[in-house]
Amino acid sequence: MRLFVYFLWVLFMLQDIRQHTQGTAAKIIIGIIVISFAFFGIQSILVSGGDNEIADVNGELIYPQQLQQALDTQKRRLISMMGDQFDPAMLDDERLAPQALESLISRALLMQAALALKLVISENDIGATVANMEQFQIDGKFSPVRYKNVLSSAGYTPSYFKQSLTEDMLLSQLSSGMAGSEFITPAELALNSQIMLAQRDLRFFTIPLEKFRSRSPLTEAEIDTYYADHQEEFRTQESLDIEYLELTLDNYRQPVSEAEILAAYEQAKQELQFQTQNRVSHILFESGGDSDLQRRISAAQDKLAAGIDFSDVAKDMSDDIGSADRGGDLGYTSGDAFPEEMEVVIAQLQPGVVSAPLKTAAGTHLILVTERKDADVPSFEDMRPALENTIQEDDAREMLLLTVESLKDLSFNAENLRNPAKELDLVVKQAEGVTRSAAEGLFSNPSVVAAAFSEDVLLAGNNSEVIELPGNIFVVLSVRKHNKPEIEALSVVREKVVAALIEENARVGVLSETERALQALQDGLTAEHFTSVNGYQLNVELGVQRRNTVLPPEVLGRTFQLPSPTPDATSIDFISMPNGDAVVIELLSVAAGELKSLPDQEQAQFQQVLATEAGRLINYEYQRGLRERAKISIL
Amino acid sequence: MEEYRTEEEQVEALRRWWQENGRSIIAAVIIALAGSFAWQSWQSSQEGRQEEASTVYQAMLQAIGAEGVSIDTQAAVNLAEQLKQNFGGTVYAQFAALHLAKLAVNREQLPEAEVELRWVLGKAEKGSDAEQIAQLRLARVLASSGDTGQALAILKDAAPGPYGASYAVARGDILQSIGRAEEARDAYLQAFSQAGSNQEGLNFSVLQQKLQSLTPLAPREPEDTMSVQLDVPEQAPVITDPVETLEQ
Repeated sequence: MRLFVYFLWVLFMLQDIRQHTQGTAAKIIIGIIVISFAFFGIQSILVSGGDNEIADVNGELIYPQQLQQALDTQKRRLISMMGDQFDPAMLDDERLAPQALESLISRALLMQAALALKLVISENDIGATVANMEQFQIDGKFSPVRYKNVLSSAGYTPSYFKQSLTEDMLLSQLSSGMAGSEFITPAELALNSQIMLAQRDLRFFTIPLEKFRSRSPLTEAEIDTYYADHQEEFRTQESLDIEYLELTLDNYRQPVSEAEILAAYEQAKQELQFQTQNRVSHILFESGGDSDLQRRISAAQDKLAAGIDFSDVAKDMSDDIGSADRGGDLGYTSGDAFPEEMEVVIAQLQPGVVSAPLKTAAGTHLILVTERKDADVPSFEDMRPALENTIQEDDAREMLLLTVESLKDLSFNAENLRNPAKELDLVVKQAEGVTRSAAEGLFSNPSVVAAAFSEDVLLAGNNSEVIELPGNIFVVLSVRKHNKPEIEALSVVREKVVAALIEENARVGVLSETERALQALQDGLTAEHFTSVNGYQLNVELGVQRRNTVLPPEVLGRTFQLPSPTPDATSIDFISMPNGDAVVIELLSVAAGELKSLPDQEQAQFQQVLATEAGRLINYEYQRGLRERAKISIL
Repeated sequence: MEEYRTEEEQVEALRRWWQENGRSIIAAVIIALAGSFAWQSWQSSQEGRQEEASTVYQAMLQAIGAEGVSIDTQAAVNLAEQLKQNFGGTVYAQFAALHLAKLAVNREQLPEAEVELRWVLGKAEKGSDAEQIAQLRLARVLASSGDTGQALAILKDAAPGPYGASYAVARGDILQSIGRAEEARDAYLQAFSQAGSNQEGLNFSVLQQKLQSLTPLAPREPEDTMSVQLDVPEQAPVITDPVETLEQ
């Protein structure tokens, strides 16, 4: 946009100049225009911005391609994280896109901030960083060949790689300066130790729920009352009886003719032969002055001609330090490990013969194939089952997709699934009692459940859309019967009622016992006495810290919430555990934490962790500040 | 424009025009060229200096080591001093001084750290992030050397910019260390609210521990037992709105 305005301005100026060619100012302006064209080229003025951007961050535009790239990275990460259990719904672009866009915006803001502070990374430093990266090294030394290979297999061009590396380095300089320089002062360290490393001595004992289960047999009247009071808890679960059509590849498998399998075998053989493996050695000459290069190549060729072993010559003369140590050996390739021009030569080279000098981006190579492994061609019998399956599946998939297309039309217009099924020669299957939370089978699939319980299917009574599931499975369904939740008769749920009543009585028992215990301890009875008389086990823990992992977390948490005991009285309290037990806690004494109580190494770690956390807060606030000051519009 | 009758007249007119104006056009071109070259070479020399500073800074980070566990403190200090002396106008020099302050604090050389932080305050633009961060750290260093009064004054007068939560935590720590528990509690609560709704970046549990140490819960009485809800097991209290929950 700015360029366009500039362009208009130039046009006006030219117009103006034609009318007033006499003025000195005009001449200077012509000069400036001529020079700006000369230096920056006409395209600097004519290039106009695309109008398909998706966000504008302080005037920097973010394009759909960038978002797509960020999404792809995110998806790869999710898939590798979830492994087999991956749910395609998690990879939904609409779900991931806002997050991906957020991170693109954050990165854009940070980059702008880095540039505004005039942070730069020199070419030299990028080079040094690349050379130090382990993935590009062979035996601890940078290998240009490996660099190219690793990049191309990861789908990077060197310039794109360098640019994103530069950005990463800039961002790390920025965060090292702002957040990485954070520290913890000695006073803060003392305060944090005092609190976080505080020690407490306590006694506690458990009043187990089990002890209060089924004390006395329940009367019918008790059961009746409990059922009447808690009817809501004894409802059946809502469920659906469903009719559905399921289409899988197996429905469409057809026998395959022998001739087809044979043809596929011949084709597979052709393709497999392509994967002959070659073990390759090379001698690399990086270019230095032309004549010098020529001289070194000739010298190597002379030595080889004189019968000196290739590996010895490589050791002496190769500039690829990584492979030189191993006599120039680069390992095996099946046609895709090296730059294409190199692979072409390798494929044509007889094993044991040294190639003519070959130029690639890395330099000039002399290449030797040290071993050739022709592809093992498996026998027809070995490959037959796999080939037959592949052909069958390919054919079946075609049929399947055609059928799915007609099914979509038919089921959309039909009242139920019987007619579509008849026309397409399918069987209507039945499923009964499908709940929202089935754990396995077809109806554990979230998209199927969602469709069954959708307004359109459940309430309006329509057929669902045709749902595609992983593994070439297609499903369409309709609801035959909606089983609403109902209160079940006492006779049906009697066992459940009894169990619930016993549980509740036990809980009440535990709590009244707890009350008795607290009262006794407050009245001055010692915990030893109370526990031994009543048959509980008393535990004593001394010097407990917050990071204790032995005590139940609930007991630990409560212990550190209690006020310090006074000289006259300990602090007594209780906690209800998730399993219904109660734990009575007596806090005996507290001591402020001291850093010195930690072993030396942990002291340093403790300090380190606190400083890092303070830095994390600074970093977060820094980025929030950038965002508050920024003009961001999402289009 | 005038009409020219013949080609000769046109040529003659052009020549006349060139005689009148040629010199100034050439002068304009030369001046513009020279200006442009000067501008570009000034720019590239500036960029060159930034690049040099960047290289030194990168080396300094390397010497400090990845985890902050100093590999070669002396080398790091030398490189940082070099940045401050030779590249004093760059942001790299400010970053270097911030790191020098950190190294000094880690060696418990608080006066040294104070000098570095004041140096940053002298160089940093008013209202910049570097200034707000250095201000905060200066206050904390002063407090640690015992001058809590000046520290609190700095925190009170400074505009914290986006660093409200960090400032509040620092204030809470200082107040708690001098036994002003009530005010410390308020400061920590303020840190919670400043950190925003999801309290990102804030170490929730450490702050909660500090608050806990300032406001212990009263133990329950025996008769409280029966009010514990039967089917909801007690859980560690989750502070959703810390101000409200703790104020009760």
